[in-house]
Amino acid sequence: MPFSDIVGHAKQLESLRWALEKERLHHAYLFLGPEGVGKKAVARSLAMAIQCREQDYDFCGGCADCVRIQSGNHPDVRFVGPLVGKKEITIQQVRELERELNYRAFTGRKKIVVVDPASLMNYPAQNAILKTLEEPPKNSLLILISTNTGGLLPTLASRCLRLSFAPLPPEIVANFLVTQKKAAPEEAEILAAVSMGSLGKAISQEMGELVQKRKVWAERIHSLTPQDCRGWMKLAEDLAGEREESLKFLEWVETWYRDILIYCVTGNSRGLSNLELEENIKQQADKNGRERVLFLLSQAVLTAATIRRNVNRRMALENFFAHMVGVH
Amino acid sequence: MSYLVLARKWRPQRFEDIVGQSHITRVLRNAISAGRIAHAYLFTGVRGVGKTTAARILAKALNCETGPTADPCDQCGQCVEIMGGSSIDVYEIDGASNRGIDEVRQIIENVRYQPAKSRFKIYIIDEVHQVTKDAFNALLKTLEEPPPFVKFILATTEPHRLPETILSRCQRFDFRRIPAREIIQRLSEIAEKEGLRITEGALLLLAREAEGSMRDGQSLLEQILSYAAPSAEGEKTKVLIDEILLQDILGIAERKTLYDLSAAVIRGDARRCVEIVGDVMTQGRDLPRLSRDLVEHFRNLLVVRLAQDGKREPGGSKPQSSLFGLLLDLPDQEIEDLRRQVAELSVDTLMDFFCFMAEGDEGVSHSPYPRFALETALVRLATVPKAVPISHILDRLEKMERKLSRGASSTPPPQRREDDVAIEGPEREASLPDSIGEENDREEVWKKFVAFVMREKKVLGSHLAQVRPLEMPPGPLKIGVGERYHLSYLQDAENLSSLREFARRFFSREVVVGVTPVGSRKPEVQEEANEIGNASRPINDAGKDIVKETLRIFGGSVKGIKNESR
Amino acid sequence: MELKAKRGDFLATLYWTQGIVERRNTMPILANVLIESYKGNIRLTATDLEVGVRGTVDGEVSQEGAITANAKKLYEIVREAPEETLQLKRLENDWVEVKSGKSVFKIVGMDAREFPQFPNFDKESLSTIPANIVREMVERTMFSVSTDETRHSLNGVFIEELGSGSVRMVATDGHRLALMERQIGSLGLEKGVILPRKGLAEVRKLLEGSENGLVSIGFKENMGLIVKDHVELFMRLIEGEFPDYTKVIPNDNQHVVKVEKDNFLHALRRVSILSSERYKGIKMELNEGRLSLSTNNPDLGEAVEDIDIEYQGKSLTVGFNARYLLDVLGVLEAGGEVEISFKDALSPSLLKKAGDEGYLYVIMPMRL
Repeated sequence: MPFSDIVGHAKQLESLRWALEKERLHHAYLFLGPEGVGKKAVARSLAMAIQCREQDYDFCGGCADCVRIQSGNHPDVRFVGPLVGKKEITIQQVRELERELNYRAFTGRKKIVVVDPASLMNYPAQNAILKTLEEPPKNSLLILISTNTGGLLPTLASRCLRLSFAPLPPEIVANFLVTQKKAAPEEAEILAAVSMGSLGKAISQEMGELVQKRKVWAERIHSLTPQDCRGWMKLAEDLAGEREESLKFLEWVETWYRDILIYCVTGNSRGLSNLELEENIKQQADKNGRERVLFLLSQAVLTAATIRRNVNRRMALENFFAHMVGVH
Repeated sequence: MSYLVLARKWRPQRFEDIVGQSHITRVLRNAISAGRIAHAYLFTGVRGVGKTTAARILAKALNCETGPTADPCDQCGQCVEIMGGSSIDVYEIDGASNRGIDEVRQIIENVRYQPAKSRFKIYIIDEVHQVTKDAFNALLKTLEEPPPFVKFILATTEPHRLPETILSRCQRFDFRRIPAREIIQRLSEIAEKEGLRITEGALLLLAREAEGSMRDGQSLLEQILSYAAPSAEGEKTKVLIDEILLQDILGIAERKTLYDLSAAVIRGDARRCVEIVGDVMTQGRDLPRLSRDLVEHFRNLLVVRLAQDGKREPGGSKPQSSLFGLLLDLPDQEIEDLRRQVAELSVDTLMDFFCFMAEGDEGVSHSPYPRFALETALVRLATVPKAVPISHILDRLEKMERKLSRGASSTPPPQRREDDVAIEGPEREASLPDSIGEENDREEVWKKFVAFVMREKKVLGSHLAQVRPLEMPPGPLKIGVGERYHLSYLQDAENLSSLREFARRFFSREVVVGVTPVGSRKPEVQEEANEIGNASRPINDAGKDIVKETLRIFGGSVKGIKNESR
Repeated sequence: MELKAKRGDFLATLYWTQGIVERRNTMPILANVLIESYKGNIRLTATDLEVGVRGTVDGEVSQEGAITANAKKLYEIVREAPEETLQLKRLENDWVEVKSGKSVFKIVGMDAREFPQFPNFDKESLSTIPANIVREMVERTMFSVSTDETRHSLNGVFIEELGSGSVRMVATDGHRLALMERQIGSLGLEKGVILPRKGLAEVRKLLEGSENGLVSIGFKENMGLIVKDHVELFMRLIEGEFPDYTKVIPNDNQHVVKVEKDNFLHALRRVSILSSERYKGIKMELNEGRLSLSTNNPDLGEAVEDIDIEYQGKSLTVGFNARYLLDVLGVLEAGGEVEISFKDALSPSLLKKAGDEGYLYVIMPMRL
């Protein structure tokens, strides 16, 4: 499985391959781009291309080095993320990786560290990695992966060579789903829209489930009326059960209101992410109007933020639905 | 020899090579030559402006076998080891990994020993703001009176995080952001030596991107190099990097996009905003980046507008020039473009744009869906009702007074006009309707306008009769709507455009029309609104209007609804 | 893979792997020991990526192959096995079956291909050296290695060849430096390399108490190997440049004293009882015919001890960290004399073992 098998990102790959061949790889890369577009896959491929002994400046995917990299067992390729049960990458982890980089490469090639997602390095950890990012020991390659620079210190980003990854065009995602995953074209189109150019998301099982879920959510929201306060209180109760579930719901509500907003503004359904809910979106757009949608959208964002701060979820959601049906 | 990235390869090795910090290097050189070397220095400044570089050069200067000298030789063992970071007596400590009291105690203990082979034992503590408070306290005494052979160089991007007690014990040097032209000069030297062909314009853009940080500039140059791909060492790149190509490489949206977007926002054309974002996305440009640029763009618009105000102030050329200083490196043409865009806008509106955009950008940089966040932010901006400069309001109010020829009693006192130059727009504008006379006038004009619309388009007129004007021409027509039902009707694109048309005809000028939700005025109105809102849901639009109209004519409220079909 | 081995042999080799098996759990496979059986050869390997140990066990191989299994559990199983004979077999899905007498264990393993592969060293490329010399060189330098992890090039012992079979090992933490040189023949090192402390600690364990016998040593670009009997010890080298240490060694210390080593050691121990816990500062005062050691600790009190010496030079007072002196005296063999030379109160002093030109120790004075 060589570079040419990677879906999309031709320009980024070309630049990496050139650097690889000319032995001009930077020692620290920052891969930026939406989730699931293949940043980690590219990082892994680069690692394989460096370590693979079967191919020059490319990788076979089947040799001992490639296999170990794929399973996370390569002695010179380390993937760093939050430890199990932790939300952050800590300074201890940074020290550990620095200690490993201080040794010569196990295989005699490069020592590669992939930090994903880099934005989960907490403040001390980001500060601690600065020196290594600027002047790592010989034969080191650090790849930081992040969806955006929002969670990164500017001085950290400034030490890296940035490589931005755009979302994949929906056609490419759909095409991949049809040809590689044997999806029905219609389903593929919807999944491609839902995943917003993220192949990783499109093929995840979660996505299929999400499509089902949001159908239910949209229906339930649709049936809410201001008179039937029991209805929306029940919905709030149902969704409040688990934190993750509430947040997932609100994240979806954001995309849904965004679609409604887009429909309000453009009057057509091009670029909607909830493609299968087109009718519902039209109705909502007609019913609410732009300012109200903007308002509700900001309420959804606010509600998600309060829930992240561990406020009573049921109350937060009830409040949100009250806005939604227009009681407030 | 493995590849050295540009920032390392071209790291300055002599004081005079440090770009843009001559105010510091001169003082340091003189101090060394005069033998007046402080025992603790603090280097502050944003990323990539030369703090660590200067610290290392200072270390070389102090320990060079030919020294102490302002011109270290770079040949002797001392210099070579300091450059390679392997000197036994120069401790490069990163304050982030060594922030605790134990690590600091270790330092305190170690300063007791003579240097192993050098004149001085030098501690360079980077990211020193990370050191904990207790650790700082432990360090105080040592920092104040270290042994004569020990020197401290502390460096940080965040001096405000350091305790006063530390600040006061160090000789402090604030490193500046490097001016664009100096960055350009340096980058063009490096580009030349690396065989990169690049235009002046592209270098200017690059320097602007670097935001005063040399390292950022070098990292960007590196990025370009990896695209331009010189075929061999010492050879020139085939491609000539110009601005267009550079934007493409860096994934920056063209400057034109910024103007297109702000124009759409000013027109209130949300649809166009969404389209442009879609285009930028398809081109694979960096959206969070675009969002940040927009914040700056709206800020520039605001500054240009403020500068215009300053210009009108009698003898006020000073604020203008100082304000223009804030526009830093923009070419004249761009400033002209900015000026044209803000011509018709109030400081207030621009303030709103800037604030909403800054707020929106926060969302973009943290959102899992930057595109959505940006779209939403722009739609919100395009929906902001536009306030018009206070001077225009007064000008036009005067004209209108004359036109309506309703007696002189309420003519605004002319001396008020002096106020219009003040920058504090919000207060001024808010104070305007305070005068009772004006308030009455406004009511009158509004009633006439509603009657006019009523004649032309009854349904629209009846909606208008239920709402209140917040602002009236000669500024924008800003309508406050307390009730969702009217809100959605009036916000409908079609209705809004006919309203704009009526306003244009009634006031005989182009009028910007804005509809904003406001809080409920009277409890019963709110109640009514709710009930109608609820009741009307099963009824079609025409039915809604009939109920509304009935209520308007007879007065009263809806108490209940019986569904005919049942 | 299928093999039969003696429980005792297997256990002894497995024992070596126990101290090395990864505890940090960054890579799951590192908790495992690699079991390989080829051409009648049984090999066990464990590593934490910094150090690796490989041992050979005698036994019968009925089927070639390899597998990995949890090192701790395997060790316990083998230790408790009821019979002297042990049978190991790889099952479907990378399980491992361990049989001894009537007890049968089936434990979860992992694919051997996932296990990090150590480089092959040619037998011919290895140099053979008496074990006790290696042990001595390690012991007498290692204690000076810096514990400051930020100075990674000082986190190990530098080893280099001086030509004509002379090999030198150097360690320093910036406050003292230990250097030892011996004629042991070429190691095939073109350029000096840095051996990590952790690896050397394993070497010391491996060579513990071995007065006789030989070890083989070899180097690759990234790794060092030392072989003793059936155990091979790999260690990854430290990246980076060791600083030029030669300038640290003083060559014009004209004030020289000789003291009986054991006397000096004991006096130091006594005097330093009252030195502060952290700094262990003691004063050495040099006068005609007399060396005085003293401490003065405001919290505890003071101590003085004089040692008679043959000294004619000028008077001199120097402060030291007693621990740095005790460290070096502790690794020297009992008896004999040490020779200490001074320049002045601010310059490094030099300590040598009388009659051994191949060993020296530099110690930086300390401000008291």
